Amino acid sequence: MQSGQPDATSSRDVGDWGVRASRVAAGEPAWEQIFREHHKMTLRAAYRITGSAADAEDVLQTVFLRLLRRGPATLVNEEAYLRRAAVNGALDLVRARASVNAVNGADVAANQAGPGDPRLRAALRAAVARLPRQMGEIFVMRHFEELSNREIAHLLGASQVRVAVVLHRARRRLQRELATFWRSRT
Amino acid sequence: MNAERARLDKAIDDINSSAAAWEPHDCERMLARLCSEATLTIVSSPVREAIRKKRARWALAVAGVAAAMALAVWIALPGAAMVVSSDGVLQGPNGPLAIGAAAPGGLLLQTGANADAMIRLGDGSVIELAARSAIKLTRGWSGQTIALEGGRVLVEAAKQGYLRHLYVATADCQVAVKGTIFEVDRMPAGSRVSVVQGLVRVTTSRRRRWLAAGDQATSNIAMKKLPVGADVAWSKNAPFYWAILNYMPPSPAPSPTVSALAPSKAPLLAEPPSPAPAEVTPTPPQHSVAPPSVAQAPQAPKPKVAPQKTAPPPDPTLVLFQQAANGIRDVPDELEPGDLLDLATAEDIRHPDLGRDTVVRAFHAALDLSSPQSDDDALGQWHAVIKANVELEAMTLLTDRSQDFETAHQLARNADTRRGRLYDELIASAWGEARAQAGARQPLEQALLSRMFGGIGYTPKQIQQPKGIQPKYDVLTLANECYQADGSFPYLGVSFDLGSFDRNGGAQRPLLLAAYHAAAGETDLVGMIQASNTLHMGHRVYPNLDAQMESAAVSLLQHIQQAVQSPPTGGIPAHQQYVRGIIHEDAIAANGLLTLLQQVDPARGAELSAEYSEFSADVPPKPYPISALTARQRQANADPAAALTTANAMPNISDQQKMAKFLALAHLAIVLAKRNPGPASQAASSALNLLTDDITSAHVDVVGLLALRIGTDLGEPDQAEALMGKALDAAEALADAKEQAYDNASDPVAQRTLSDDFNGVGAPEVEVFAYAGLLDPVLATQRAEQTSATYFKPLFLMRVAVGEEMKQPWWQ
Repeated sequence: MQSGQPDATSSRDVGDWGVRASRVAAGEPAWEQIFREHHKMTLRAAYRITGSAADAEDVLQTVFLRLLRRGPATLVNEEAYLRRAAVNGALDLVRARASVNAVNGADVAANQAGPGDPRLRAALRAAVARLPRQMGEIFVMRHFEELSNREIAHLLGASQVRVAVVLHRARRRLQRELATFWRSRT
Repeated sequence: MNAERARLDKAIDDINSSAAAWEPHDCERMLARLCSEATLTIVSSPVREAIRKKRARWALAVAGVAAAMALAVWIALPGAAMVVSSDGVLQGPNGPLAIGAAAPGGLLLQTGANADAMIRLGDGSVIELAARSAIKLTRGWSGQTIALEGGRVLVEAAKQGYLRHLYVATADCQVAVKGTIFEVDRMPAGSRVSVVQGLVRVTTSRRRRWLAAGDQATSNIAMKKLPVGADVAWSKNAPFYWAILNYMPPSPAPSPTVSALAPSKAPLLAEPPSPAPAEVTPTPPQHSVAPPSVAQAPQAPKPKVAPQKTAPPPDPTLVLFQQAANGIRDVPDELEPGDLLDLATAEDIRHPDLGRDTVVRAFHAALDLSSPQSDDDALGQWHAVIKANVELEAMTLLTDRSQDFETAHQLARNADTRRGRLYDELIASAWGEARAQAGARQPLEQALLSRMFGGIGYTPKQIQQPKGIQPKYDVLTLANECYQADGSFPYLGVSFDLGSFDRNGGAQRPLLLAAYHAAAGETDLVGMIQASNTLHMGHRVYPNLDAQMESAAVSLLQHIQQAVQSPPTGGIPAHQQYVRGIIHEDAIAANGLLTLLQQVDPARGAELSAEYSEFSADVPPKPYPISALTARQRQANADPAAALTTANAMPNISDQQKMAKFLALAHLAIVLAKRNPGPASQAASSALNLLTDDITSAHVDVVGLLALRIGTDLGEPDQAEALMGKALDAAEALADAKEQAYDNASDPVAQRTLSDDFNGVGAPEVEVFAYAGLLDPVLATQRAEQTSATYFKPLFLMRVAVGEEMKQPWWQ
């Protein structure tokens, strides 16, 4: 994988490590390598949930500051860690915003860019943020990050059956919330 | 359903498509920002080097021009901070500063006792100083710093440039922002930061964290937290900030017009709902008080406020909790901690974060109560009981429900009652966490069944104890910390630990020896009972330490004997009664110790039994009968006609007979309502024929529940509303009478006795509001808000909120 390319895959190739090794040899700190390799994936994961480039960047900063405190050397799978941290950080941010109830207009504005109905997107994002923590995380991993149930189960240390059940419940709940939103709109 | 599914899929696709179309760029800028945020962590970074080199080249290239401009800006900047409004005296280094005057940098600016002031910085940021506040303004390359020397400031930070921040610094905390509204309060105990809008970064010596709008942080956990809206209430622009926060300030005393509408006598449930409380209209901040020349200065960016009509309706339950929290401020100090715990318990069902904060508030409220100065200090004794109960319950809620060990531990360190019981909870929490991490937590329903039916034939499924698990927090350290703090020892926690963990080659010997050491010196009446239990556990776990156990047991027997022979005197009668009960339990514990010692060493045991002969008699265990209420309910539903005939046949000549017959019929109607509505209607009708004002007052909760069943299950909403109106009138009258008696009580002892009548959320006059909330939440809320019973008002609101929650079961 080349530096700067979107990093949405869950597997690595040998070239990956080759680039890493050459940069480390050139004296660049390991965490900067991680940043260069994964910042797009992290940003995109946060962007899907927040719908705002600025918020996504804030999440990116928070995630990497946390990583710096923890120390990159402790990571076994950086991509998995960053993806999950970005999802949780973005959900936390949206939840914190929602608690004030004053950012609805801002949410819609942030969701203007892109295809389809911006209000529907905003409603879905807000509804996902209202889901219980793990349910929201699993939903985002499955439908936004497009991981398989098996990968999610592996990441969370849960069974595939549980992931499937939680996903089913999350979808049912979101369908209900979107239906309410639709009715209130029409 | 298909349409709903399609809508969800479409929204997901839209979001994924928009994310795919978005191309993040400017990696170097983000990396540089990260470097600037993390300068403490990253000392030498190639990126920072690159940035510095790049800047150096720029500086060399335009050195002459840049130097001249920088000099001009540097000279001009101190004048850019100026006073834009001042109510009272704003004292500068050379005397008072007038409106429009420059606020000098690096020197102390302070407001007087009844003064406040606003200062606008060169970048457009506005600082509002409260009375008795002092700041210094300093500048650096990374931005301006407001050094808060004392008091409180509210800052509307303008958008800051690239890599620049506006800082507010106190002795123990630094706040960094780029464009937000926030408040900083510096007090002797520490600093408190409240955020109205945007994100701020708060750095203390211990940690760095981000706060979002509505969040609050303190540099010292012992400091009280306030709602953010209340924390900024001193500002001139408070209504504006409340609108942003969607915060409803405490309402003033009801006007005569409102009082005239108060529903104390009229059947209120039949009245139409009154208009909703006036909404806070956002008014722009009053920054335009400056002279014209100042008014033309760059304006601070106005916060974006969503129009009120587009904002989603606030969660009604949350609004009720907020109102209840506001109402609690009006209740007497000694009732406040208990009310706060009730509120926290209710909030915790659906808003656990809110509930946790309220628990901490309850703990602090208990700490604020006075401690007993002597044995005859009745008020202090009463407060001590409240402190002990509230602090323990707060610990239980924080550890069991919120699983927030850190906060619980901090609070336990600040407790002013015996800490052993609090540390018991902490140790149990650490144990629970370790068990959960090892995957050995007993399912909740099994634990419940085990507790309900333990010992009468139910055998819960045994969980295999995993080997080698250890609690995250060292139990011996916790126990020693507790013992050194006030001499109490967490015997229950230690017993819990001894019985729960895998005993790995004597790893728990030091813990048990510490417990034996503490038990040998234990003189507290309750502590002696717990120490005795720990000795039993120690004998089972480490019989090779029986010599130490025997030594501790003999000391303990001596102390119990002294307590029995010369019990503590003084205190109020209720306390004396409590002490006598505990001493009786101590004697039972001594009996158990003698039995244990006889098992360990029969000869020595017999010798000690002779020496402590007063403890040798056996004490029979108490039987615990099981309630037959459920069986009676089943029986009534199985044959409703027979049950109705029996109830109708009851005599109703005297008042007592009428009351008994009413209760029987009302209960029957309540029990039958869901499955047998026909007989239930007959029973309800017969009950209502017997109902009098006296019966309503005596059994207000039964009347309320009957009204609810009539309205929801028997399909008579009009009848239900009228009946509920009567029940609520009676409940309010009872509450008023209890409050009046409490206020008129001559001494703390009498007040304490009367306070039992309040009895939290379990009191009948309070419960009836939950039923009213289930019947009609709007009208019930209206009644609760307008009640004349001040102390009961928060409880009424809480129960209405809980009634709301019950409509949607919490487990879904």
